[in-house]
Amino acid sequence: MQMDEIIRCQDVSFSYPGSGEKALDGVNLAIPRGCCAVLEGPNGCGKSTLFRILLGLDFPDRGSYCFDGVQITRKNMKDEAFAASFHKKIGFVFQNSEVQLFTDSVEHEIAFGLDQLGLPEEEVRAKTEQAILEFHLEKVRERAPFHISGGEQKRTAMAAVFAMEPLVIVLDEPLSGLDEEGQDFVRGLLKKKRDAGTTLVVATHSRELAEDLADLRIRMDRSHRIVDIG
Amino acid sequence: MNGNFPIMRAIARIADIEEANSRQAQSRVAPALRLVVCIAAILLVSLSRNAAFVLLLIAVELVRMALLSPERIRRIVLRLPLPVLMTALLMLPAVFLGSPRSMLTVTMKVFCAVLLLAVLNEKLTWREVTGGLAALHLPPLVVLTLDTTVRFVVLLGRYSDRILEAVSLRRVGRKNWKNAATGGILGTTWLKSQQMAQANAEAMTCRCFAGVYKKRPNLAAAKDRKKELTANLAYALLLPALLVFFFYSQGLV
Repeated sequence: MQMDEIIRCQDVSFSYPGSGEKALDGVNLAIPRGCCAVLEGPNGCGKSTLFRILLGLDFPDRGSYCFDGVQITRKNMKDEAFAASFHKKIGFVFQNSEVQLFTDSVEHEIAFGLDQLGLPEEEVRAKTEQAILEFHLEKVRERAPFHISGGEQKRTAMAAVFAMEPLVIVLDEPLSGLDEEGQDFVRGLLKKKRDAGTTLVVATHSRELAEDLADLRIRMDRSHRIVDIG
Repeated sequence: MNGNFPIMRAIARIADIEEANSRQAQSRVAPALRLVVCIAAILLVSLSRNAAFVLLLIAVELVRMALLSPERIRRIVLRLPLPVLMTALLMLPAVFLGSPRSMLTVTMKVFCAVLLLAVLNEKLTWREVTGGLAALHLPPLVVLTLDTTVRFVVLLGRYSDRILEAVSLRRVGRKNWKNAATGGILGTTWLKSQQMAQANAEAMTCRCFAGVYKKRPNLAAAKDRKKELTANLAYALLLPALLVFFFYSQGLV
């Protein structure tokens, strides 16, 4: 493995239990640290499954997945300390923000992850304030996340993940359900994070976003394989 | 919705009520303190052997209720008759057995307890209640379950309402569509709840949740916290005041 690679998948195959079909078939992937990788492909080609493996939610049936030089397996993810330290380094913004938000207010949603990291209360408060300002959530900070608009939910979900400052941020369709203004905001934010050196892995159907952001474009097709990297 | 599926509509409406509650100006008094005072008041009402204490509490609660918005007053008033009438009905035999005062006392106590809870319910949102329970050191798992339950009730209520709308838009020329659609809506909602629960668990895992639901950090600014402290101290004085009046009214001091 090269030293600057933060994600490496080697010959990864995966099938969902009870399904005869492969969701991923011999996927090989290497993402360098600080790179913005954009994953493209039709619906059902395995993008979301690949993300689940990158996040340690599912594990390859065959092949291996290494994150920051350490192999991620079912066995070591059962170790709570290991799992916590892994999830500290990789964050995920779901396509459907509604299911990602679970606390009683927007500000507590942002503070949740920071609090789980064991940061002192003052630091949690400072980082939460910073995220609220950065994501323009001042007006809805005390409202329940399931009562705010789709765009605000998306910004809250992103703020909650970005505030934790993980090494890698995985985003599934970050522009879905957003109006033009919202899309511009997210696009600008992702560019800023990329320029700041955060590793981004983004799945999108938007060619414009891919062209804007990508250092590395990865294409999958219905054979559940990566067909092009460039 | 043309009056169909009243239970589903009622569940969906919880979202609106919770939203209305969460939009009201937040009280500076800690929800935990409100809960403690309310529970203490209900206990003292139950223990009271004469009407003076109960009547005083009813008067205080009616004044508090009068300070609320008309919509909230309407909601409180609508909650009162059923438990009070049920109690009166159950206590009716006492009148014929020569103890009419028992019926009056018990019914009055129930009225007072329901009024106390209804006013508390209007003052606090559900999330404040669970926050208050967390502050009272209820096991984190219980608080997490309560938090998640109310969230899912709201989301699934809203989801089933959307399906119901879709069904009613497509019902053309079939009279018994309601029966045919009910199973489908409930089944879909059930499947959706499973998916949401899984996604929820995964979202929590991805944000380093390791099974311990910690107390929510206090995000109020230091200046606000001073005001909160003053308000809490003032509210906490209600507890000794309640006790003093209780013992005085019972002739114990």
